[in-house]
Amino acid sequence: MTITSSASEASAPPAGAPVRLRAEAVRLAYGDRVVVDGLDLEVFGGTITAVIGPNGCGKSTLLRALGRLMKTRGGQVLLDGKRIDRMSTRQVATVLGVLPQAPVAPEGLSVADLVARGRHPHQAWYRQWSSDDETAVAEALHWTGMFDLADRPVDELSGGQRQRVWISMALAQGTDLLLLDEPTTFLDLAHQVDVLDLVERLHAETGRTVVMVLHDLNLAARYAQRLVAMKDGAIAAQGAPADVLTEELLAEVFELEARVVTDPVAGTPMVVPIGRRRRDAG
Amino acid sequence: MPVGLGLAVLVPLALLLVFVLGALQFGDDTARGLGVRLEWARTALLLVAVGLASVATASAGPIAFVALVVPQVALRLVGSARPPVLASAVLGAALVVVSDIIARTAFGPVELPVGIVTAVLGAPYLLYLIARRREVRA
Repeated sequence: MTITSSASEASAPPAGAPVRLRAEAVRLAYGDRVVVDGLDLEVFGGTITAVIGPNGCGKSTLLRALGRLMKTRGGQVLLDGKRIDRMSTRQVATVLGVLPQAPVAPEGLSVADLVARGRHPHQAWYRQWSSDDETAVAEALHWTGMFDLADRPVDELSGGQRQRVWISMALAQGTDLLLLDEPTTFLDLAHQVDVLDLVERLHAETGRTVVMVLHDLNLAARYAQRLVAMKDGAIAAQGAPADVLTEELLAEVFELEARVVTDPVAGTPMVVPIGRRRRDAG
Repeated sequence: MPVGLGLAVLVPLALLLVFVLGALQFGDDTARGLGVRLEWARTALLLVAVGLASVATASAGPIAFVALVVPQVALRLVGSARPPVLASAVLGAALVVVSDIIARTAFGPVELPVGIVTAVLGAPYLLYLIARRREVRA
């Protein structure tokens, strides 16, 4: 198992970055079906971490546990050093924003109203809207370039615009930690790049810490500083993209025969799958 | 009097819970992510809803279609971001009163049950809503 040994070297933390989220021996299950068992993970402040892995490997489940959307059956998740399951839901929601996979907006709801809902954790039944809320929503909409479409119903927008709206909501929530579950699903390549550019800009200009589940390995390698590769509910490798995304790992984790070359644009590793027919011919 | 007492407790509670209802519209994960204590919110909403329905049914008997149709109409009339609970209450009351007048007077000496009138008024609108939703999906 060359992968495990290289993984432990690569998982050395970036110098000086604080650990924002830590999973310790986490066990996660739906009913009797254990999806993740004994998993350890650290998310460092000010980095973009991408979680990759084949379908059903538990990466979305892990993200849900990190965001306290589901309870751990064993082990614990620490947010800024405190046990997340002992914090109040609202307390968590002011530090950490989660964007679930393919969220749905109620019919007819306008962009501004949806983004305004991101202010929920800062409100109470006796104080439902303040000027702070107003400012946060306007800022979020400007950030994502959706301000001009604020009055449009969300369900009339294109997929890429809709994703920008949801990201705006997470921004309006004002958390410096964002968990995104496949923010690029159902988008064409141009819009995938567009959304990831937005995430990168957020990270670069506001210093937000991002953890996202991504399917596209090349985009994950390009946009994330840290990759976490999962297989069967465990971490197969983690670290810098160049250390994680190797031909051995692709074979081990994805059962994919592929060449890894250098991305001519970003210099990050790029996966070129071989496919059965070409392999047999060669 | 017991009706008034029940309403005095339940209506303010319902109006307070609208705040949570707004975040629940998005589905469980998004609502939790926004800091809603889901189980608590659901239980509270359910109890208040059951309480209100019980008070209404106990005092007026079963009247069909009002609860199915009125919130949909209210939503389209008010166009607010959160579910329009207050507007639904006002519209629902108006619908029942109008239906009651029709039931008592429309057929001379024969008095119809209110529920029949609300059903005649409400059912077509509900069918229209369902048909329209199909269209949107297709």
